[in-house]
Amino acid sequence: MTLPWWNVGAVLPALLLSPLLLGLMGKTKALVAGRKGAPLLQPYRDIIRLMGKGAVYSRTTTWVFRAAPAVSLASILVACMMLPAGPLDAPFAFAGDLVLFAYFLALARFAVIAGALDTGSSFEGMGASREAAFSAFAEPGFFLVLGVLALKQKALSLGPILGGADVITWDGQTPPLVLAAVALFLILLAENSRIPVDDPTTHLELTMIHEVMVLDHSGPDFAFILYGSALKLWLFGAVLVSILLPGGGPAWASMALFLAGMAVVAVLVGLVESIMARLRMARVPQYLSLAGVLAALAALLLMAGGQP
Amino acid sequence: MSAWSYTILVTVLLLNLLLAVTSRLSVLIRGFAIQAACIAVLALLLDGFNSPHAWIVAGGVFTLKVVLIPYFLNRAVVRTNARRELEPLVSYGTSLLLASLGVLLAFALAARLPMEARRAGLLLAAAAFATMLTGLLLLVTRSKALTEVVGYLVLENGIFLFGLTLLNRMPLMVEMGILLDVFVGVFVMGIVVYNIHRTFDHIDVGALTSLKEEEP
Repeated sequence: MTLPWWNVGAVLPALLLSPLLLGLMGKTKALVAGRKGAPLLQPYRDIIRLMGKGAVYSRTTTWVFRAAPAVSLASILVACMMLPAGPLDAPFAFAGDLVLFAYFLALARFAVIAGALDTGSSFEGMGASREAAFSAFAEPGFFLVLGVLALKQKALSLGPILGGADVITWDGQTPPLVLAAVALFLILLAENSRIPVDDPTTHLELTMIHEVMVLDHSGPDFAFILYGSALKLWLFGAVLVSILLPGGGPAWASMALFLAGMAVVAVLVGLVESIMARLRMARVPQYLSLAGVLAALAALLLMAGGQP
Repeated sequence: MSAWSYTILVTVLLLNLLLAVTSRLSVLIRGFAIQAACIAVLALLLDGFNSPHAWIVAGGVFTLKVVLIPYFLNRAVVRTNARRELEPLVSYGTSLLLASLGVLLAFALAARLPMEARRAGLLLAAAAFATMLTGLLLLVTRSKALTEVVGYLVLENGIFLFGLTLLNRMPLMVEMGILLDVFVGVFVMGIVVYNIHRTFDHIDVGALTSLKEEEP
């Protein structure tokens, strides 16, 4: 199903505002720790500064390394186009696009992993191996959450599931939806390399997961990676907000509600990062399987017919 | 079934998962107490707030399982100085997996019950089976005597939950008798745990498998 070209506008909030989420998160962490913190617009400045620099490539790398940032950003952008933003419909939608959505995110991750392996650095290989392992644990949970939503909305496309006219209502299905939302939040933290799974501000390569994979990228390449991770955070946040917030009402009101919801998600992630310690590496699979189990329980409850 | 009883039953299911993964005895005991409190409230919700029978049952469950038994268990934890279960026979990750398989099995079992037992809905029977299976899991896979006591209590929670499907048909004496049995059982187990601790300096039940004296 193709929609009018002006639906491309639904991507604009993600394109323009996603780095702001990172800024908001950093600000929250700083305020909780009693610091003043970087300005909210710092991620934009970082990206612009990096875009103006030249890139340095090691002689051991091949085209895989050079292609990685572009491929990953492009796949995330395509995934963005499948997601409705509040009252705005997604630019394109078809039955079953939620599988494609999940696998475009996987393709983005694959590109970064391949790029990291291409450098031949042992640290980056280690990070790549961790990223691959943990995302394998996160994937069943993510699919189960999407399955729960599909089951609830009786649709197979992200557009009708998350937004549009038929928003998710909570009629008597509060427990399964709350479980799915909690599972999705746990997965959001893991997929966006946040505490308790990964620490984005660590400076010890041995404990890094995502950051260590992108150590060798510089200049515009690194800007792509930064922007891509901001967009990915936006994608997960948008799914979460669409589950939790009611829709309906005038378009501007639900748009405002949606944006406010995204801000709350960013602050919430910042708070989690402030009050929690990172899990031991060996506990991460357990953490992720907890997310999967919660999502599975939600699916089971919905299939059992929900509240009689 | 009202939205409240539905939410409470889901809470009971989640507490089962918590009980299966936690290694801290204090969390285990608190989880059990909250589960028992949920069940007491559920008895009232299902049978109506006007029935004296339901009030007596809920009151009995609350006094014994939410106040007295956790109090004695916590005392035993302090006295035996066993705060964590460090060496379960099955790792906590596997425990979580087994517990969730148990939930699946419970739903499958509940769906096969005759309608009479499903008076209060599929979910109540499923939650009851899942709680029993979690109790069984704790009993079988943990090595500390105190954890096994909690496992037994969780198992009993499940049986009680299943009894709720027939609450207005079960004589009061039977319910009270079961509660009293559980209380005396925990009391005796408390003494046994303390004596195991005094004799062996720990409460690992593995030591009980070899009852003969050590060869010189």
